[in-house]
Formats: sequence, structure tokens, C-alpha cells
Amino acid sequence: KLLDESGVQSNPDSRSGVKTKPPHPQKTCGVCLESFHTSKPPALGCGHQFCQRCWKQHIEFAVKDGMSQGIPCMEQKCNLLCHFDFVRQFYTLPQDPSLEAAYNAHLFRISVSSHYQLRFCPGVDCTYVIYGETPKPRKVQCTGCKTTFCFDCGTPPHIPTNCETIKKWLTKCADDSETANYISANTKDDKLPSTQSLIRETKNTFIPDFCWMCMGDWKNHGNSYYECSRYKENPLIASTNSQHQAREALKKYLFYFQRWENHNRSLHLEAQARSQIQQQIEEKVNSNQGTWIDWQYLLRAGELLAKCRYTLQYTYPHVYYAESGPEKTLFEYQQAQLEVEIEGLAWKLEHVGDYQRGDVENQMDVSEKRRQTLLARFVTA
Amino acid sequence: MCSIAATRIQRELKDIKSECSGQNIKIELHNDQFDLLKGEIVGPPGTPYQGGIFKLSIKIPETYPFNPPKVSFDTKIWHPNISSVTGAICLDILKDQWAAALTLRTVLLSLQALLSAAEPDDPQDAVVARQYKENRSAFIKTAKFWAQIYANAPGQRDGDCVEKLKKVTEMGFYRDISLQALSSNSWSLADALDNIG
Repeated sequence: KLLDESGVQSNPDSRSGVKTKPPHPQKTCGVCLESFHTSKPPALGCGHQFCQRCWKQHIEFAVKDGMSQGIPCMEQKCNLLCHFDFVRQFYTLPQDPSLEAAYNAHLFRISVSSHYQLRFCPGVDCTYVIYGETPKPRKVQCTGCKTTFCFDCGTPPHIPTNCETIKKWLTKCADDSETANYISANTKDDKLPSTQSLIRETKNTFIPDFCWMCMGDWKNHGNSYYECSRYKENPLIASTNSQHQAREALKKYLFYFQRWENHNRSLHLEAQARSQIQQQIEEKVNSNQGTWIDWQYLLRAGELLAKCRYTLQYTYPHVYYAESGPEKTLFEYQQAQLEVEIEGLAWKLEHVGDYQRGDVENQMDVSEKRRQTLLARFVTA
Repeated sequence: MCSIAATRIQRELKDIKSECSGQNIKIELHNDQFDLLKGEIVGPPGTPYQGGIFKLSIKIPETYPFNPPKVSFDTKIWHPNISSVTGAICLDILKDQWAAALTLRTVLLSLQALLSAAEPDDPQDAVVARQYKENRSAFIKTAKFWAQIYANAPGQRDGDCVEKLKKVTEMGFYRDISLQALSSNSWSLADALDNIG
């Protein structure tokens, strides 16, 4: 009691300006409400002192909740955050390896994700960190798990569509695709059951050529001017009522969504086809029709087809959100050109027996050139 | 429950008993585990809740006081930041603004302050918040009537409200449902009957 009193008395002496602190002041911790004796209770720069045990608990719970950098002081309305050295004293003395590990893991995660040149690989269970010289949207591949992704936003590569647009598009697809599925399930297929079954049944016999995309006669498409990838907007739409406009908007979305989905599906189917190509090559080599190296172009064609199709798939969100004007018209033209070449390449690859190597190689070259032309504007040096 | 939580609750209860006799707030244990408490606040003067006794349930998480207690109103109340159906509260210090140095006493005092100064721009109950902003007199009338019915607030009950409530209950609806419908429709009998249920 005497010590206590003397502690109070020996508070800062205003006259001499000399601050003398009592050797062991008794304080009440504002968190556990118990008094504690210590000459130097832990506190941040704000000076809010709490007992050792409460600080440690506070930090433990915060780390458990996934915090490392943002652990605040325990005082109300105090915005000071616990810095590394401050936290460190609670897991070094006494040693607490689990707290240390958890804290360091969070700290590492934060440091990487806030660094502008570093990205975590989005691959499943991949722990690699990707370093990029300049942070911009571009395709990168993880050396560990071979996942490719956009360096800027971490989603699968999406050139020529930009990061914001692809995000909008994917959200829209996630929200609306059920509607889309419903409509496509209840409209197109119902209208054309005969054609669908015809295609399935007469796979190896002659069927009249038609466009898979618009179901129109292929004769009208030819090589001259392929336009199935372009959505023709109704010019009178602004003057009609809101119901028509809503229907038109849905139609436009479904038009692009269908093409997006079609290419996505084709990509999967052609991935299976590529493994068949591998088998075909082995058969051919075994039956003395050329050497292994002679048939490698088929594999290359398969890979190129996948690459082009992927690009083409990601052109649709771009066009969906693009504003009409000469730029969009040009893009749609180039897109149509690429579409024609890709379908040509796919056809030739499916009917390998009917085409010469030169034909296929030529088609590959044209396709790749068309792809490059289409993307030229979007690739930043 | 960690030892800090239990000892702290014990201390807090002791402090509240000794310090807060004049502040119109009360907290008591509900069981022996210190994880569920019952609180009471009196509606502050100068508000529609004046004199009403509002009961609260306070759930103490295991990580208390490093995480906030979960507080909700047991007594039904008409307030933009409190759900008129579930009693859930929207208050910053019960969410992200919680600090370990805050106590149950400060929480209850903050709730009292919330009753005096609502924040309709950060609502918990959208219907109440809209009424608060667009039809303040209807809001005050409703909040007062609710406090009188549910929280035993003193004063003469509004004749119009009593009459309309009687009309609807006589049609066979429960009192709470009738009152909710009338209140949500700013005491328009026709609108309330259209939207009841």
C-alpha cells in the first residue's frame, strides 16, 4: 500500500521536467480486467498497455482468423497495427512454433499478393510464385504445374478480351447460363430434331452441307463472305418498347454465348481427337506408310487448332461488349476470317486421308497468320 | 472457453453491479457457463422508446474478449438498425469495430445511444429504415406503440393504432402478425390487409 502511494506521488514532476517512473507500477489490464505488475508492459507506439497474456491471445486469435499485417491494437478506436517485431516477441519467448509458422505463412502470402511483380500460381495445390518484369495482362505459364493464366487477373488467358470485360462476361455467364441452357434446350433442339438425328445417323454417308453455327445452307457461306460470327443488330430496336428491347438483349447475349460455348465444346472434343491422331500415327508408321517424323505435322496441326480455337472463343466476349464502330466492324471481319480458316483446318484434320500434307500445312500457316492479324492490335510490346 | 473469457465476464458483472445502478442498464448470468447472458436497457428519454424495458440476449464466444459478443434484442422493437422480426442488431462495434478493450457495459450504452440516434443509411430492417426516412411521424408513432405493447413503456396508447390493431386481430390474425403488417404499411388498413401474412 505504501509502495502504491509512493508510486502515485512519484508521477511526472512538472517543475523540474524530470520523469521518474516507479519501479513496479501496478496497472489494470483493460482486456482481462486483472491487475499486473511489470516494469515494461507490452504496448505499441500508441502506448496502450495490456498484459502479456492478453496480447498473446489477441494475436493468436487474429492469426487464426487469417490476419498477419492487419492485427490492430486492442484499444477501442486505436488504428495502430502490430508490426513484425512486436508480434515476434510473443512467439519467441516462450517458443511457440505453431504460432510462428502460421504468422509467417500469412505474412508471406500478404507480401507476395501485395507485390506488383509477383503472383501466386492459380494452379490447384501449386505453391509456385510467378515473377513478372512488368505487371500487365499477358499469358504466362507456371514452370511447376504448367498452368497458363493471365498475369494481371489470374484467370485463364483471355486475349483479345481485357481483364475487366472477361470478368464481366464470366459473371454474366455464371448468372445467365441457366437461362441460356433452358432456352437452348427448349428452342433450337426442338426445332431441328430431324437434322440433329440425321447428322448422328449418317455420319459416314453423304449429307447436304450446312452451317453448324446458323443451321443455314453452307452454299451461301462458301469462302466469299462468312458472317455467322457477326450478330446483326436490329436497327429499329431503339424505337420499340422495352419488352422487345429486353428480348433483343437476351437474343444478342445468347448469340454470343452459344458461339462461346460451341468453341469451348469443340476444344474438349478436339483434345480427344488429338489422342486419336497419336494412335493413327503409330498405326501408319507400323504399316510402313512413312516415318514417325513424316506425320508429326498432324500433331502440330492439332495443337495449332486448339490454340486458334481458344483465341477465337475469347473474341466473343470482346465483341459482345465492344461498342459499334469501324473498329468493331474490322474486328468482326477478321474474326470471321479466322473462323473460316479454323473450321477448314478442323475439317482437314478430321479427314486426314483426303488431304495432302501440303494442304494441311498451308491451312495451318494461313490460320496462324489470321490469328496473329486478329491479335496484332491487342499484343502490347 | 478460455480462462480469460470466464474471469473477465465475472469481473465485468461485478463492475456493472457496483457502477451502473443509475444508468438504466442491467446484465445477469443466464447459466453457469458464462457463455449466455441476459441484459436489459431502458429506452432513453426524449425518444419513442422512453421508459420501455428492452431485453437482450448476449452470447459470449469462446474467443471473447478478442471477438465481439453476439447481441440481439429479445423484446420486439421498431428501429431502422434492428430487425423488427429477429431482433438482430446492426452496430459497428458488434462487428468490425470491436476492440478487446470494449466491455459489455460499453456495448449496452452504445445500444442505448443507438436508440436515441438511428442510422437509417446503414439499416438492418429496410422497411423500418424507409419509413424512418420518408414518413417520420408514422415511424415515431409506430416505434412508440411497439415500445408500449412489447416493452411496457408508459403513456397513453395511440387511439388510432389500438383501434386498427383490434380490427385486424378480430379478423382472426395473430396480434404480432397484425401489428407487423399495419406498421410496415404505415397504418393504412387497406394496404396492411393486402400484404398480411
